[in-house]
Amino acid sequence: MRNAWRHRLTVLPAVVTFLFFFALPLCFFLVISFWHLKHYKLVPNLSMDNYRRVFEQYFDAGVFTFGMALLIAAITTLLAFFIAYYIRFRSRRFGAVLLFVVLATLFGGYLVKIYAWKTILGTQGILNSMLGSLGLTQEPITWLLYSPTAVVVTLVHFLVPFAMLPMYGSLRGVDDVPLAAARDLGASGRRVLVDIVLPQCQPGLFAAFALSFLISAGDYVTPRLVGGPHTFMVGNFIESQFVNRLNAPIGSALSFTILAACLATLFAFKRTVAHLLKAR
Amino acid sequence: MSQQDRLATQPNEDEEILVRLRNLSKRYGRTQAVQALDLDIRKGEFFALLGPSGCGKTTLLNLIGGFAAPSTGVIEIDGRDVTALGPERRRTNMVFQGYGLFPHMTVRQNITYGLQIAKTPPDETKQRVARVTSLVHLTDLEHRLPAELSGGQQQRVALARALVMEPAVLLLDEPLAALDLKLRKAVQEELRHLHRAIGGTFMFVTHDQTEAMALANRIAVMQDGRIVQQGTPEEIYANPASEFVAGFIGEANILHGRRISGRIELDGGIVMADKGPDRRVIVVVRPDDVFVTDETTPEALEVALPGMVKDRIYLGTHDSLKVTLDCGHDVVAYIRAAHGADAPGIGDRIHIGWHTSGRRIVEKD
Repeated sequence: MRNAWRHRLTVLPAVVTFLFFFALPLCFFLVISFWHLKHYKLVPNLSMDNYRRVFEQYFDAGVFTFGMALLIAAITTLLAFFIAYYIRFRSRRFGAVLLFVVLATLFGGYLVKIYAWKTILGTQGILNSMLGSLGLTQEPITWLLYSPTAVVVTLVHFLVPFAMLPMYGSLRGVDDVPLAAARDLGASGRRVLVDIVLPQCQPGLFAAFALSFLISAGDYVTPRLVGGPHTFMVGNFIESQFVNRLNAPIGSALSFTILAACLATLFAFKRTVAHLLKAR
Repeated sequence: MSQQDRLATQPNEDEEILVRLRNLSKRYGRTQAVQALDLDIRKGEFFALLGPSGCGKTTLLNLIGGFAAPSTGVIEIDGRDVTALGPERRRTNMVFQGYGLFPHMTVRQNITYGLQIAKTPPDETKQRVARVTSLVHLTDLEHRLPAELSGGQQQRVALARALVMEPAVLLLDEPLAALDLKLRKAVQEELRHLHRAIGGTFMFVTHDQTEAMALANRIAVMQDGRIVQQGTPEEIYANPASEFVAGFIGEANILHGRRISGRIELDGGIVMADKGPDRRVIVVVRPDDVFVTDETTPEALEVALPGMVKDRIYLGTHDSLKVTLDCGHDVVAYIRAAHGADAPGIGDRIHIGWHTSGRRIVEKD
């Protein structure tokens, strides 16, 4: 018994940190989301008004954000899978080098990457001047930067290395012999992928998707810096509720709505993937 | 005609050749894994590719299965050139070393996977699966996952998964290597039984000569990417074509010497009569062909050589005596354990010898 307690003591700092810095604030804002603001002061309450307003005001922004996040997560997961698959199964000696190259991009900061894309995608940017000097375009393409496209490109680029790690981790757990066995039993390369490889790396698929989906659904810096005046994602609204309008109750309600929707999306993703990849 | 060719069983014309390999080579970088190899495997054979690790036997099996492309040569299966075809388009199925079961599928899903891909009608699938599962005694385990099975059971699933495809040739890569001794015996028996029951063609790779002898009705011994001898187990055991084969198949006493004008002279002055051209030879005597005698010139034995018992190991059915001859050679002899108190002990001086029929002369290159 004493031994068991001693083991529990060792995780105590982590538990305390978690409770204090994650669970407690979350509970605090959950409670706040039912309160309201009167003369810039918080008034305790228990009303669904905030949530009703969230649905009225931010429904379209929410749908747009989820569309963006889904698109970004899908592209990221797909890219991460193929890079990880290539490193694991096809690259032989270059695998380690490739892995290092992908991970090395993690050293570049988040903002650095955003500014890098600004210089690439801008009207006077690298891409436009290249296309112009090659004579492929007469005028610079203006929709590259300050558009949803720029947000997708930037976030995908930022997220791929993160998504690739769990993907590669679970692909490493996939043994080669069953793949050869499937070929032996008549399966084409595509069927081996769908029937044997993918079902075995579901945890990796889920982790990659969840990571890229959650980060892009909650991001508010990228849309502001490369998204232009019309690309507002829910993160921007949450930020503005807390920072500009000092309306924590609405901000909290919006946050929890998005949180719930994200969890539902991830759950749906997991179920769908499990269903699609189920052995028959 | 070299001795090796004379000893190899020539394929019988009226028996159908199922797998025909011609001039087959496989090179990995600088390593020549398989070298200009010709081989015929006839329908219904239980064929063993036997050799030490690194001799190219697994590469050869992979070439036949389609998992590697040969550098040169032709592979024909059932009269059809399959050299350029992938494994999914060959009528071969493999039982992999380590089995390669699909870990996320149940036993039944593993077994039906190939049929599902071939779009076999449900009725036929049911029938064929029922037949193989009962053949390999898996009927009660159909809904388990591979991780929930023992090693022996996993192997039976791998067997069933391959057999249900009714392959022209069933390829087995070291089928018994991962099993413990007791299970190995049982699986050997099961494989023999399966081969009889199905009447198919089995080809397996092993480094274990007892396994090859116990299972196969024809063996090819491989060394450095080449087949150095092929024949029935009896032929290879009785007439090894080279020192390597003699040493590899069963236990053997190998004595070096030369043949000079119709006589074999071994180092240390042992002399035997043998006709043939003058050249270096080895004399191969199996331990069970070595006899202990108390006479110095027995009538029946070809030689009688004095020596001292160095070691004696009791092996149940027989004793293994290690005798150091006065002329310097070490010879192992098996004697029946029933000798009891009469049997020579360590340190005893004895004479050993063999019959003319009990030794083989193999010419060296």
